[in-house]
Amino acid sequence: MAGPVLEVRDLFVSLRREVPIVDNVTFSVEAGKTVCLVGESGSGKSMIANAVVGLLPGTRLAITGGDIRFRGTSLPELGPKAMRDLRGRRISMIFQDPTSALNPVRRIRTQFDEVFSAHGVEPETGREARMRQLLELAHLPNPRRILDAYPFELSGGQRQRVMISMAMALNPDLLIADEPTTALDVTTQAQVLQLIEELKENFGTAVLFITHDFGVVAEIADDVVVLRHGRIVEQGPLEGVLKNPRNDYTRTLIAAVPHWHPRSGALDSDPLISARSLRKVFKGRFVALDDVSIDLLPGETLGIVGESGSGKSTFAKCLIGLEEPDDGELVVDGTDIMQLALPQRRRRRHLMQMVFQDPTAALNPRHTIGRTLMDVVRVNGCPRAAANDKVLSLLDDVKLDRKFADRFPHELSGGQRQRVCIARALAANPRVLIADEALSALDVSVQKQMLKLFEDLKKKRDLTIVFITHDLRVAAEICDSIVVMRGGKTLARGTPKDVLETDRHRYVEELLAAIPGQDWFSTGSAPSQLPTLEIAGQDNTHACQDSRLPPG
Amino acid sequence: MLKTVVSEIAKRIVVIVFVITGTFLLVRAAPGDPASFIAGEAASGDPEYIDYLRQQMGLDRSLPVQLGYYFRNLASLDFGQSYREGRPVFDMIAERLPNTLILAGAAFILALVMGTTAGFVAAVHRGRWIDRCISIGSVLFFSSPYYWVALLAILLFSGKLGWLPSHGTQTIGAGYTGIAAILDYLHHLVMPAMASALFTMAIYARLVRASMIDTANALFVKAAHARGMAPSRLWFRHVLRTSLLPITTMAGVQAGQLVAGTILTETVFAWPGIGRLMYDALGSRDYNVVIGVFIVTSVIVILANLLVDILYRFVDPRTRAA
Amino acid sequence: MLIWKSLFSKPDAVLALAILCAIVLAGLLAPVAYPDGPWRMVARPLLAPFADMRHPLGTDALGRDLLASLMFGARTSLAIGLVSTCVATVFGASIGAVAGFFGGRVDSALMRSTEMFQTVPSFALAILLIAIYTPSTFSIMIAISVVSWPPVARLARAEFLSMRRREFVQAALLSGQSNLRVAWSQIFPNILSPLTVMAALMVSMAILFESALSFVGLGDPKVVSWGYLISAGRGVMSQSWWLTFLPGFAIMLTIVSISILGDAIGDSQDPHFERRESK
Repeated sequence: MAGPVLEVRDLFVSLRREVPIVDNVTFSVEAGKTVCLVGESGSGKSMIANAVVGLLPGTRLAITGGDIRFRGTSLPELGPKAMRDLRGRRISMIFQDPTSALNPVRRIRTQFDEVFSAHGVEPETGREARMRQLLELAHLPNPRRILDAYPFELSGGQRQRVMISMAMALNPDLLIADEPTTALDVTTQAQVLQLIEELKENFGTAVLFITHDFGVVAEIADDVVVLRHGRIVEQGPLEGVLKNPRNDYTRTLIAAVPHWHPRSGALDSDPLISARSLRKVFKGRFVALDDVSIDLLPGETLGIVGESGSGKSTFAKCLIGLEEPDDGELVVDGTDIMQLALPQRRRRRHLMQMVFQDPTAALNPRHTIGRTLMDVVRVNGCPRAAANDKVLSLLDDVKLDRKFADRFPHELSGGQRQRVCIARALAANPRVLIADEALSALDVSVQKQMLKLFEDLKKKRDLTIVFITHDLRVAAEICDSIVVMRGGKTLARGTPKDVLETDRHRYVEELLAAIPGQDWFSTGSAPSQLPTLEIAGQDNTHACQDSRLPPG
Repeated sequence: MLKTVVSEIAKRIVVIVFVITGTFLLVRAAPGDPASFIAGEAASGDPEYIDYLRQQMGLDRSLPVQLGYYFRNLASLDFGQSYREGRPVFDMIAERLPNTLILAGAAFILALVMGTTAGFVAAVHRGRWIDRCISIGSVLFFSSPYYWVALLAILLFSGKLGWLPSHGTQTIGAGYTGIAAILDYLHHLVMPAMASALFTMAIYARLVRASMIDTANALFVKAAHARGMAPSRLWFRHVLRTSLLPITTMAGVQAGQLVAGTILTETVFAWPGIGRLMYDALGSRDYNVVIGVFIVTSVIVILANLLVDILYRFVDPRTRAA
Repeated sequence: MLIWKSLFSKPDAVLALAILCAIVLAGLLAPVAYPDGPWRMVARPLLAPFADMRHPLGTDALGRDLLASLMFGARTSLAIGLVSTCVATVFGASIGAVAGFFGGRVDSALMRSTEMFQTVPSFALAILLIAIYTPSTFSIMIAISVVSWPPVARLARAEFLSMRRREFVQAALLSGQSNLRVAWSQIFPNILSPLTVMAALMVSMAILFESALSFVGLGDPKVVSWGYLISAGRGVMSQSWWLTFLPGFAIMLTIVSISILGDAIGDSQDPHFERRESK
């Protein structure tokens, strides 16, 4: 069939028929191609996806202009019955969070089977065989066990593969993937991206892929549509956009992909805090920390890197006292505080403060910024008369306007909230700042500024920073030393240069290989040590020339 | 699984022991002499009876020994004597218990079926007129004392319209047998069961509606929608099933209150169950009967809760695996 | 205040507030309007409503003014509803707060006992308590408090438990603020709205309870209550139905109004988290 699978023309989606959330968007997706919609929160990228499948949330959002054509048929004009026939059969969708996208109390088999029964399709080989075949295509070992399982018995990556298998069950012409890898670990992400790519090849499906990460874009896109505030700021073939971005905003997004500059040169002094053989077991079963020993030198930035379940957050919690280790020593300023009574322990730990992942959850919604800071300033011994000035100077320190003191958290943006959280941590006069994935809830363009803020504060206040992250590249760029954790153990430690280049552990190798978009954004991995742009371009053209199965 | 069932049962036994001990202590802490308190209206006129009570309760012994006596008596199903009727309290309860269980059971089924249906319909049509009607109805039923609604119903259905009998379990003097007797019984059951069910029904309707709307917003429902499921399938297979689970435990608690609530309906409809028995005993201050009914009611409620909890564990795969 | 503003934007809430105010006023003014109290025989028995405008709602079987009885009944119902709710809320919320904040063994011990209280059928327990301690306004209040605190405790515990895990609470603790201070200034304001809704529900339940207790003859014999009026009217129901109907209607009206207000207050206090487009 000729012509694009999906054509979106001059699309407007508006709130209460007034405020446009999607503003005059035009693009098309051809069979066997991947188009990436890229943008940060509020860019309207998910709205476009929802509009295509006809599932705009709530009753106040509506398509107010333009057209969406699927194989030449206008979707907004289709009746609910006809639309239902398309959904799942010819247009499929997968979501960001595979955990909540599966019904928690029904077996995978029942939910999978429903795809066939809802559309009245009987696969030639029978449903059971077809389901197993699809799960096998998604590289799920032992499909029968998967079918018998309930969602909570599977891992996040497995659930997303199941979702993808279900989406591909009826050979759809179009697959819409709404941030399908954002909730996954980097190694799982690489596998899922590869799976989508494979299935696209095998089935000749058109893919509309939504993401905020230019690394992912570089990995899988044929065409790129960059969105901001509901408008297209730039669109075109991947190569053109990456090589010669015409728009400043696109440049910011591309620059937000962390660079590859592993630092070298270690500090050398007596540790400020020294954790020795820490052990923590949850519910008597899950070993979160297994004999972990880490030294923190004064004035350094220590990166603790790992995937989910590696124990990196548990370690931070044990340091600061949100959890108590079951075993081991925690030496602060030369004293093992695990020997002390709880109140003394708490006082010793006071030199550490924490910045959390989600700044929205970390601020009391009923307190103004001023009050939040004031409370901390006051309990840390600042006299009443000087407290107000102190609050204002804290706002200055994190580069927030002083007028924010009278605002409530919901009036601030995510980045501004995270600045407030940093100010609150500073209000307790810490010597150590622990940042637990402090950037991952923020938009990519804000992450850069936040890194710079950490850097400035560190210099200005002589801070020691513990930086907990899943992103090796970020850690390599800003940390003096790195600890890589996996399954509650430390696997590698040393300067970024040592850990990531000179003396690479096999797991580090795996992590690096999994980073998406390596052809464009170097990670020092073996194949892309050379200047890469041309090679990557050829790679892509090569991929596009692949012969395809007829759709459907 | 067996382990959790055993531990659930053990938990309930602890609660029953707690209830009995609590009752015992309450009576001992009553103002004045416990024996003359239990004797109630007989206290002034019948010293012999009070002496009998004293002995039976072991009032000359220490408190723990008395408690031991108490448990021993209850274990042998000895709830003491009713002064008014001169019969063992347990026999009086036992002969009326089936009536109460039938009434409470019927009311529970009515409440469950009608409440869930109403909540389901309201959730599916949320924001439309039918949702509003159901919401208003459930607020009204929730807010009205149901013995009062029962009285008004008697006024209307037996007084004005003459459709339904207003009291008792059978038509006196009709001498029905076999099927006719059962139908007569059911005819008498209609109003009491409806009246007992109203309040609980209103609560179920609200719970089901809220829980379903919550579930309907979950991502997995949207995902199923995006796979092309028809709305009926979405609502029944995905939303209703998933949202009924968390309600199950609430349903158990409410069912317990429903048993206790039959005291009121039995009073209004002169339904010869243990609620009516308690009401009559309160009037004549026949406290052995009051306490006996209280303990039996509590045990029934606790067992009903136990049943619901075990059922829940079987139905929800997440707890089943744990 | 924000709450008032949002209340007044809802017509049903305004109506409910007006009705409730009228009932409260009636209760407050009862001794002024009828200085002789509700028990006196003032006219011929079973006078129909509106037959004699000095007794607008007529009289009962003993010739007592029904309007006077209803107004005094409002006093009883509201007083018992408010006092027992306050007692139960303060008690239950404290138990729940301690359990939820400290967790661990304290939590499981407290919650086990709460669960025990909750499994006992509350109406039967209230009857037993009042029967043993002779019916009086005081014993009724205590009995209702005793049977109604467990749900508050469970709610407060659940809220405290989830708040305790919230990052802003952890941050406040890490910054050096004391447990008590964090519980009071960080957590408590955030659970106020579910507690308010719960309290409104409890006032309703307490009024229903009190009337039901009076109906089965366990009311305070010294004061008039709506439940007592219903049971007193029962005997003459077939000819003077309004003697049964009006007191019950008063109960219904009160509780409907409280429910509507409770829901409206609950809605208006929801914190306005900014919900951004989900990515």
